[in-house]
Amino acid sequence: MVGGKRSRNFDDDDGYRDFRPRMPKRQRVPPVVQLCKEMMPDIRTLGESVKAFEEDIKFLSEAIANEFGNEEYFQDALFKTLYAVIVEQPHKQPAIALLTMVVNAANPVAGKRILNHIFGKLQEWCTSTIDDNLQVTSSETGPWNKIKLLLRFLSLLSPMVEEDELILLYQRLFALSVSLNNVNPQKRNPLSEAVYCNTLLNIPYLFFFSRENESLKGKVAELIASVESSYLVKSTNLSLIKEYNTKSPYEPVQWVMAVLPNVKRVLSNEMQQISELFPDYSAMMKPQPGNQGFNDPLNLPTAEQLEPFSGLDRGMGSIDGMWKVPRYSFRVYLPNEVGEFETVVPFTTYAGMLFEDVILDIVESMEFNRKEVAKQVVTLDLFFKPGIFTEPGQSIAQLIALHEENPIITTHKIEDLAIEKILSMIFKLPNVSHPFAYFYTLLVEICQNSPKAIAPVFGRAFRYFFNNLDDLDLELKLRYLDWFSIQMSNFNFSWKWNEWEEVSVRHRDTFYSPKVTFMRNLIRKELRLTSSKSDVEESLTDEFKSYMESSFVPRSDLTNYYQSFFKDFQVDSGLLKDNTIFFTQSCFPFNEMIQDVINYFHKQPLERNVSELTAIFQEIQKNYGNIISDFNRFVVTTLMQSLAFSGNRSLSHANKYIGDSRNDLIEVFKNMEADQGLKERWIVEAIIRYWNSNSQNGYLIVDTCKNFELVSAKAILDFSFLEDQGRNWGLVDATSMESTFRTLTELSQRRDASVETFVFMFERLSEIASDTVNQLGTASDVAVMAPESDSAIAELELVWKYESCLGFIKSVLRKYADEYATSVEPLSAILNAKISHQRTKEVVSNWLNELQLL
Amino acid sequence: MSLAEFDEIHYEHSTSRLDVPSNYLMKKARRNPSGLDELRKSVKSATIYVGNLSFYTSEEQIYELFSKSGVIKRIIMGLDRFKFTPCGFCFVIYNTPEEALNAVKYLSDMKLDDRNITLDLDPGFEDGRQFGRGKSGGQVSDELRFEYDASRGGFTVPLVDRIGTNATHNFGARRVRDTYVPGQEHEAAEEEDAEEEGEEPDNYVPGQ
Repeated sequence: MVGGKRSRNFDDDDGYRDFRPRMPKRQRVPPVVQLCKEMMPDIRTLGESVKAFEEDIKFLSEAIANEFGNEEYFQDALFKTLYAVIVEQPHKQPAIALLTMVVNAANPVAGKRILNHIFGKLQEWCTSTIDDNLQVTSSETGPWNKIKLLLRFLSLLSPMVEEDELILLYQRLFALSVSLNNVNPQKRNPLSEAVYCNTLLNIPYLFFFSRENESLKGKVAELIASVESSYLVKSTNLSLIKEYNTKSPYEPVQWVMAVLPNVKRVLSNEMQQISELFPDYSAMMKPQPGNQGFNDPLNLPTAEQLEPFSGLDRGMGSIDGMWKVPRYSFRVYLPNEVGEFETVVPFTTYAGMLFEDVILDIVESMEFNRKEVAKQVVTLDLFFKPGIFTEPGQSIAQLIALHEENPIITTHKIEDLAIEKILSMIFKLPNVSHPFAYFYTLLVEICQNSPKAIAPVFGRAFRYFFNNLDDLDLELKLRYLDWFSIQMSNFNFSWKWNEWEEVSVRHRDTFYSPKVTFMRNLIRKELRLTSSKSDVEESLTDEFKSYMESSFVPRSDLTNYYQSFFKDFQVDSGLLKDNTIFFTQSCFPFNEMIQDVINYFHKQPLERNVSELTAIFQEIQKNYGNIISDFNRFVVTTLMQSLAFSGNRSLSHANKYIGDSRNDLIEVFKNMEADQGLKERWIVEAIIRYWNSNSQNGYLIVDTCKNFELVSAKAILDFSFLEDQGRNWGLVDATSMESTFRTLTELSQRRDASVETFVFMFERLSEIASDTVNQLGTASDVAVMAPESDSAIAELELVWKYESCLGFIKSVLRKYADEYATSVEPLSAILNAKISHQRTKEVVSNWLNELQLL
Repeated sequence: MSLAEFDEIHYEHSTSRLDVPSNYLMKKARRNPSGLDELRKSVKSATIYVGNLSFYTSEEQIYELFSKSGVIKRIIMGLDRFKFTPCGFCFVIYNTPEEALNAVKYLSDMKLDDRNITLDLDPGFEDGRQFGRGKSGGQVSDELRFEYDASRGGFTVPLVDRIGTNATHNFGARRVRDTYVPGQEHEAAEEEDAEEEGEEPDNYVPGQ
């Protein structure tokens, strides 16, 4: 049995068990450590079992009340654990608050110490909001998010704490948000919005345990009235960060607009919504003296001190950073797709907003354990009032039946809610808080935990994005592609391809159709993720089998490419094969000499001399120069393809061969009389054509050449966006697009780099857009629109091309805003010079203006 | 041996972290006088070890998956030391240690070629570590495996040598759990220990 031996060496609880007899026995831990080891995990999981909740509260509170004050170690562990749960798993805050208050009833000293600790933490975070040197880890959500969560916890403790002290905290935070907001009345202030929304969102928690408290109600009403009158909500419209280019399938709701109405509504009507949202813990609650106060007043930085930090663009935490640009709700599961009902709690209710907030906090603050996140987000319903969501795992068909039977029964699905919020983070613009891998694997994890309940939820999301693909932002299309392929590769590539057959039948032969391009790229990506091509092939229906052919350019183009090297000589395209150099085929009179070139590269670097290479090429030129049209181009291509061939076993092989030969290549290229830009284009082209069957490898090897400074970033982009008979692979092929973003991102991370390449990229795309719109012949003051009838394929192709091109401009401007923002003037000049179509110019020029706001 | 900060009980988080050394690494470090240093190196090395790969998984596939958590500097495929063919593991070197930790957090247990890959921190690649250390040239863990595994070379142990096939003759006997070496007597326990499940050379020198 595998692992039998291993398992002997491990205890169930704590890992390794030393078994060698001469070693002393495992040291026993002190009783207090043992106690903490047993008790803290119970606190962390408090509330996960609804049945055991009451007993857990009872036993834990007794133990804490008795143990408190005996050993410093215990207090320390307890404080840390409580704090960790409060800020990492905010849905458990009410349970922790209940525990705290039950402890407080039995041992007020312990209660007070816990309160002091949390308040101390709040003070620490307030101080760090103006700390220039704040070190953040990847799971840091930011000081303002921590302040939000700690304030929420303190609000939960309202029966235990002096009311006025709590209200004072709110007043001070609102005052701060108002003064920040008024610093520049015209301009949106990100920090002000964050504080305003965060603080408002916490207000209903004051009533969690104090629903009947009339004096508190009065004070809160005053508070809200005062903030409503003094806070001016600013509306901002940034088209660069819109997920959909022209028309969104839904009306996005902005956080700052929705929060106050949501909170007011939840408090109105005798707080009916609150009792429908929050669970009732009153049976477990113990009477509170209600006289605990904070030792010191909260020391909050002033608006002046905070102003330099108020852009929230200093990388001080993930959630705080989301406020940098206006925050909108993002939707995937729209009501009308399935039936006339919502499956996600609407964002225009307090509950919907709170759920979004809580899920985002969980996902961001526990990024170090995606398995735990996967578990918590789909069991969130346990921590709220039963009845908000349907039974877990209900299918849409069941929901439709239920809804017909009883239209007032809830149709909200916890799975839909959790997945939609995680997707909102994947599709977050302008940037994402973590590497994509986190979100993709988190979703895979959720699906693996209960495939039956989750797989259909994913399926609906896949379909939704596919249906809205034409309008989806270009960068988001790539993210969608990436997520889809990862998900597929973890679940045997099974997808109902027949649903999309009809689209394929209609536009299979087009070049720019967003949907066909997507499917083509998806199947190619799947093929790159597996070594068993048959798995992918078996998942496809007949219509899609032809998509298995993954050539970058069609075979005829490849033949033309090789033919273009010669005059008065016909290449034999029948001998063109993958993974070989065409020039070594027998139809070429010099084929043996090309073999010599390959042999040269196979020699150890120290045993060869570049003169051997020159000699070979001189020989070829002497004997066959008459049939070769551009000998320099021939030499560059032969050399690069020989290296690509020699290193075709893997990327590291290619890397090694190119690295070893770098000096030889530079030597040969140096003596060549040709424009440097042209030489670099030949290099890139040689490699991409060699790897025509797998352009991802081609582009990665081109990256290697760039790392060895054989080609520049600009040369790669220049090649990618070359136009050939109206076809522009840089706009449609995923490997090419990924290469473009990879190249630009790498450049943007080199702080010393000039913005020349970025400007070039903008210029090239402007040219393409302009050419396309000219070909379309759209009037200058009319926006480019898709033709009504589907039959005008040629026109449709041009519209798609135009849209992809504009999408590309939008994406690069947004993604590299820091680089582009410094050169708005030259960009405007290029725009004016290159694009004559007025409407296009307006759109792009608007983006350029928005660059400063990103 | 105590492993200082790696043995501490933490209360800072409400759940465990995934970017910590695996039990295998901890166990190895405990037996090694310089184990603690190795562990400390492994969180800063930007290198990760990837195991349980199919023999057929290519470098490009690994690139496609692992590039989603950071910029890859180099991938080193683990090879059979006699045949120079992939034998089911690799090292991925990222540009920064954070990216390596991200990979461990985000990609462990993901499927690649329909297999759940295992990820571990690694103190850093050294030449020679790309080869399997099993008797046959592949990974030792494959030689401890008796089940058929198509994507990892089928049966590593030939049918005739497999324990259990002649069950009628040793009814009631204990199952032999030591390292299987065809046609050879078992070696001293100490060495067998060092070999066990080892993808990486154990640089423990007795008496040092």
